[in-house]
Amino acid sequence: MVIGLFNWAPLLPELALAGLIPVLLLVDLAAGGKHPRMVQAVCLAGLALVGWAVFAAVPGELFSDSFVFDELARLLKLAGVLLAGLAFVYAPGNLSAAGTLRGEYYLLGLFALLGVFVTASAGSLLTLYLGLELLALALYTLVALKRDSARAAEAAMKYFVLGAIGSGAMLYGMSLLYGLSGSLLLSEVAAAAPDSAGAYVAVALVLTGVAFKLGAAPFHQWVADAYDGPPLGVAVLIATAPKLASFALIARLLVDGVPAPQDKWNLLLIAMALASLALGTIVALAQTRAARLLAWAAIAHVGFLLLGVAAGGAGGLSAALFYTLVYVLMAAGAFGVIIALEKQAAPLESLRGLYRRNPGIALIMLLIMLSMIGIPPLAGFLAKWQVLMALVDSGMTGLAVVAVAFAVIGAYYYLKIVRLMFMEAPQAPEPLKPGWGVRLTLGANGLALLVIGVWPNPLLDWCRAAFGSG
Amino acid sequence: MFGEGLLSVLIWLPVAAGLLIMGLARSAAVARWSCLAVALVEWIPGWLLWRAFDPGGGYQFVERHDWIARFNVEYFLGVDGIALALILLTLVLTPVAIVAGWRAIDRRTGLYYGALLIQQGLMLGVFCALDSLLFYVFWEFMLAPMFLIIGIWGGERRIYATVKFFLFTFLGSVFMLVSLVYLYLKAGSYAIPDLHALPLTPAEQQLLFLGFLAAFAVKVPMWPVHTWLPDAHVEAPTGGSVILAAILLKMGGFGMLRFSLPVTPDAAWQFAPLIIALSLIAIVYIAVVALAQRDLKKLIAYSSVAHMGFVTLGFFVPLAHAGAGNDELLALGMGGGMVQMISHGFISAALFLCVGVLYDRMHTRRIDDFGGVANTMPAFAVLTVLFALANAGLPGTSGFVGEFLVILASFRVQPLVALGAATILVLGAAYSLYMIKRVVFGEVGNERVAALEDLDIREGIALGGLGISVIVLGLYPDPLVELMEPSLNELARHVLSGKVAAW
Repeated sequence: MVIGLFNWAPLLPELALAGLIPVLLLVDLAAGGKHPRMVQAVCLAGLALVGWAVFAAVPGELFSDSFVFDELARLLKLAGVLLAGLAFVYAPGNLSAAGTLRGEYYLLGLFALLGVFVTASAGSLLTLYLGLELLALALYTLVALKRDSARAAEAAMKYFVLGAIGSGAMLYGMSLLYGLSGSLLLSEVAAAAPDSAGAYVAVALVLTGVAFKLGAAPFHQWVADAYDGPPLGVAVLIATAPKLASFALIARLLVDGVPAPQDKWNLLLIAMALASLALGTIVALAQTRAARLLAWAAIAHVGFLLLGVAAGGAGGLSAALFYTLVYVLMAAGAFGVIIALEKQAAPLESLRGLYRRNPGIALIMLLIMLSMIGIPPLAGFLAKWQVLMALVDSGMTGLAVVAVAFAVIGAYYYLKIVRLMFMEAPQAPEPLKPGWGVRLTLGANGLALLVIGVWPNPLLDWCRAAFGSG
Repeated sequence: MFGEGLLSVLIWLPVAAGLLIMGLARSAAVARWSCLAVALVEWIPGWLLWRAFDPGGGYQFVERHDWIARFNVEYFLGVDGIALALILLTLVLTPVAIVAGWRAIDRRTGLYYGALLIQQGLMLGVFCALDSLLFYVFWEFMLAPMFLIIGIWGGERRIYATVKFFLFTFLGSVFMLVSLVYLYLKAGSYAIPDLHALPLTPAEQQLLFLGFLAAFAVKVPMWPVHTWLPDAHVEAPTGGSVILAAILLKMGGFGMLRFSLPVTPDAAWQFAPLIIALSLIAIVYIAVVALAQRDLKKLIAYSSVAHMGFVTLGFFVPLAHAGAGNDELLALGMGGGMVQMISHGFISAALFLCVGVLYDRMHTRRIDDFGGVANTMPAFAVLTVLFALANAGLPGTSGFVGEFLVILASFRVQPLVALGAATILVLGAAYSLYMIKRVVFGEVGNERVAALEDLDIREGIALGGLGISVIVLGLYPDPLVELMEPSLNELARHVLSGKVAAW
């Protein structure tokens, strides 16, 4: 690249998103009070533009390689735009009922999305940390959006303190990596740092940070509160955006950026994965609130995903990427249904008799739950199946058997939701009629799981292309 | 000349129609009649299939397209004689299941009949799939409609029963999935013929066999993983029970013939004594358990487990024969097991239908609540006695043919095993006749029995048709046997040639 001449093309998505934020701020200032719908509409239109920018952006490196735009970044950014769009459609009903539907929600949501973007394109330790913290700060604020709620305050406090500890550990690990290698660039860290005890400490600390952000056991304590404490419209973002950013972190940092070979620290990863699977699955069995159930189930999903990373290689990583994307889609849909159901936070009981209140939404939720269980041909099955193939391929058949056994236990709580929807009488028998926008989006969200499951080839190939063809 | 796409039509027509009924049927009558119409229209492709099928021709009506190219998964369909026999069974019995719920299902009919048709399509898919992942997709998604059918329209403990059904079956199947993944990584393909040809070491075969066994033993079901079945059968609505007993249970036996025996033949040979022991326990112990039941449906459910023990015995007993290379004997045993599966499909469907007839009128299934039904329902009594005797293996009915073939095969291997197997003829007669005595014969038990009305036209056609089938299959089983024989012989040769030598 010619010095002094800046090629902005790879930065197009970030620029578009950063441009959207002040526009939205002004729109909110001018019209937000009277026409909250208008803010939403501008936000969604802007997101569509950002999505186009992600498509149109040209691969390349910027800022002496600390910003990278490649297929992995494109895929993660598109997923981010998609999930932000879903959240912005689902959330308003819930937020306005909670009295917290203000322009800030969209603004902070967009800032969080920007954090995902920057992390996805990180080429150096600095960019990586910058993106993660931008995301985290936006989410901390969102959790506390409902200032006068004790639950929200508690959740925000826990999320902030634990998140800060996680960030601290990761930052410390990164500083060690910098000290060992003398470089911030991910491509140079691995080559320059010696394979030493210091490097292992650094990797362990970085892994701690990864586990915190993903919500993997034993660093999962914030998850249940962060899902259940804030209004559900905020929780849907918390359930999804950090997963994308964390996957970017794993793919960028653990795969290229650490000096020790994977088999040296894989045991840590496997231990975290198994702990997450076991803890998430078993604790989820006892939950009585929908968001908490999804939170513990998410920990189990993270365990499965980490097994894909532990299997390693392009196969394992693309399986984990596929899993992450599908999980985000499933979680967004599940939250969408719960939000449509109840204006405030939802106990599981509120799902009772959903089929009688709105058969369409109940069938969509059925698809989402079957996908979470891993019933073929839904997308969730393909995600689990690929992880299994990666595990068996790398000689870890025993782990594959353990993983599927936990998947069977996990089926119980998803079936509980199906049972409540289809086999119980509703508490409030009046039909449920959310707006047509929400209904259409929910339908598309649920059917997407079926479509990806039946015709997975484009997404599969894209996930593989993100880790080099092969 | 009809070959192209026939199997796809067979599978996807009911699925598509089921979705339409689920979404559009506004009244119960529309849902019922359109569901029945589709199930009867399905006979057309079924008949074409049967006419054009050449028993000696290997896999036929093959459709093969790429599906998930990256992992070499194909949309690969085809049938041999074994699959075709079970497909015809499914096609014949689905209308019976639909008719069984005609009066009893009165709420959310669109969902019920839609789920029933989707279930039919998925079951046909299992029998047609020649790609193991496609097989797994049909196999597993089948759980969803059945889960709803039992859970929504079932009896009092329906939720316990349906969750147990789902989790048991799911637990078994996921181990099969791991086995399939392992095989794919060895063979580079999910196609079932490729897996049949794949050489495997004895150690690998043992683990794979156990993985498959987990899936198929639950579905068959074999003792001791049969416990979901009495619950599921008892709580399911009559139509669901018919589907479960008559068709769904056959998946396990079919899976053994598609995977366990041909993919891991040497392990099957090694594990044969275990399977034989489990089968004998099912035959003897479960039959005794059936004797003690007070609930009609439970009695039939346990009798199903005992009869299925016969099927697995037929598949595995010839493998225990000391003189290797006796593929004629293996074909005999497997043929006996297959005939037993088909016959049990008709008989169990008929018996559940009989219980359904009584339940629709009296809303009870307790044996003690009946007595002397023959006095008020003579036509019903005749048919019930026929089916009970067929269940006990009376010569001249289809129940006899399969049992006789299996006992014959067992006798040539080990007379003691044959003796154990033959007790089902005694115990089967005992619980069947004891049930008949208490329900059908004797004085009129109470005023509710006295007020019973005999079969209506709908029930008469369904039960009468089944009765004729049972007798025709018993007197003239040749068409069925000829349909399956070449495929079974081929399979037997393949199994006995083993894989260790190739390795």
